Amino acid sequence: MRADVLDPRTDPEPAYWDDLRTQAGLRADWAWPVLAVQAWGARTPQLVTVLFDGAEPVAAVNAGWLGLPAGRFSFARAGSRPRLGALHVRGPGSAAVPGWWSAEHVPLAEFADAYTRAARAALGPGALGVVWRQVRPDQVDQIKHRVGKALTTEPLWTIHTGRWTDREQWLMALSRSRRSNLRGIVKRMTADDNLEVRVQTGAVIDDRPVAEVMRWNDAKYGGALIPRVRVLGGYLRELSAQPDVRSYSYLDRSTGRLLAFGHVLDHPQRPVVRSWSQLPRDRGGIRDLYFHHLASVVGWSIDEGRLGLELGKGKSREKESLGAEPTEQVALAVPTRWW
Amino acid sequence: MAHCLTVRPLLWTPTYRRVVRTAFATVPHYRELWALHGRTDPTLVPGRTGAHAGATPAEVAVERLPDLVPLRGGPAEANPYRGLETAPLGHPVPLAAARDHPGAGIIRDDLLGVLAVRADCGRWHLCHRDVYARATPLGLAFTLLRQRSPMLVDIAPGTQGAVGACPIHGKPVVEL
Ligand SMILES: [Zn+2]
Repeated sequence: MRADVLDPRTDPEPAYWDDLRTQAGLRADWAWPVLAVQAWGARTPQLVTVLFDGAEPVAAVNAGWLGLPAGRFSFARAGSRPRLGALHVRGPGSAAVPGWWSAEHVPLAEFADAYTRAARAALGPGALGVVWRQVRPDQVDQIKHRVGKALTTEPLWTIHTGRWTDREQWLMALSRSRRSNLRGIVKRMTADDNLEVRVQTGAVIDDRPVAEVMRWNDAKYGGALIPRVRVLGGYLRELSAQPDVRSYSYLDRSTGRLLAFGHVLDHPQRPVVRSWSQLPRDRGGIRDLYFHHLASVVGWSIDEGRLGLELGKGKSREKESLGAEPTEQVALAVPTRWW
Repeated sequence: MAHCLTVRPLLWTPTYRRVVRTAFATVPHYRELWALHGRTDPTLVPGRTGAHAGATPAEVAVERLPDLVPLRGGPAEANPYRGLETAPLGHPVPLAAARDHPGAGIIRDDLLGVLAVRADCGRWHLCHRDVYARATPLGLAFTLLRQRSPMLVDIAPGTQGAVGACPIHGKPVVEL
């Protein structure tokens, strides 16, 4: 298979990119301008690889090139690559879904093999292997080719919203205590005249208050030194501007202050609840806003007939109580084979 | 002027270029601005030369101070008195008022600190040990060569001017 190995920082958007994204159902974090600003803000080079069957793109892979030397406190240098390292295949903006797509008619083993070959050709002998994330257990044998090492990691959580026709049905599927708790939360927030909820698609946002909320959200940092936000402000703006991204802003109406912010990456079947940040309560944040947010996103997903909401990993107890179900996932390290 | 004489102007521009590269490699604001839009002198991404030669209006820098902190962390507050302790006594004036200011004085900016001192030749001598200046479409843009955080590179307070050499002292001066 022919391959394009692209650096979104400097390579222009390929002519086939829009069609490929639509065909593969790749969410807005795969939009080329979003990939570009993300790669500029990364500490390791980010590579997008497209595999072709003749002239037709049949697979796409997003990976970080993790290697030595690496700068903990510096962005990846353009034009130079670590000599020694491994490719880390993961979603560009979300760890809730895999970082690769391949067309249905392409056998997984063949795809994984072609990708490794393309990477080896592009990166040279220093490419020691590929680490695949978000691999389903039934995919492991085909990708690892008998030589890889598999590690079961935290499960991914999905709320299968396609099962319900309205939000009431979903609530009835939850435990009685969670149901009454959620009703209480929604009632309290709805009655709060000072809380403004703004949901926008393709939005022009001011990234500064969002970054501010993200900073406070990271409780382990104090306020004395400004800790880094994991993405550039331009990334937040570019992602929010995509037509298939929903930006949720929770504002204090009297002060105009942003209290919490979340993104949902839409998808015809499986939107991703991507990020959530909120001010701590002692900074004016509101208790239980996350549950209110999820209830509202679930309601939207049911109304729009989406099959499932991808919530990613972590916060398992909370997610389970909201009706989410786990999918086992495996991280797979496959050393480069030279034969 | 003693502190302005310790570095030869010859070493000045390479120091500035090093600061630009460090800012591009470690400071979010400059990373984004110069990667996506570009800059000049030096250009960092081939073909991208930026809207204002890569300069940042001072008011934008003030709004984005947290983004001017390098990845390894550091303070995000401006120091309006930076350089004051080593500057000779003189009436501090903002850059915008310096052109019409008679007699001795120092140019001091609320974000950047002390930038230049009027010498006995009557010209505004840049404190070039700490400060680099270049003319951009946004006016004079200043860089603090030794301040690590917040990193201030090509910050334009909004006053037109040029950078030259003093014919008497041979040192960098700003002409307003
Ligand atoms: Zn002079």
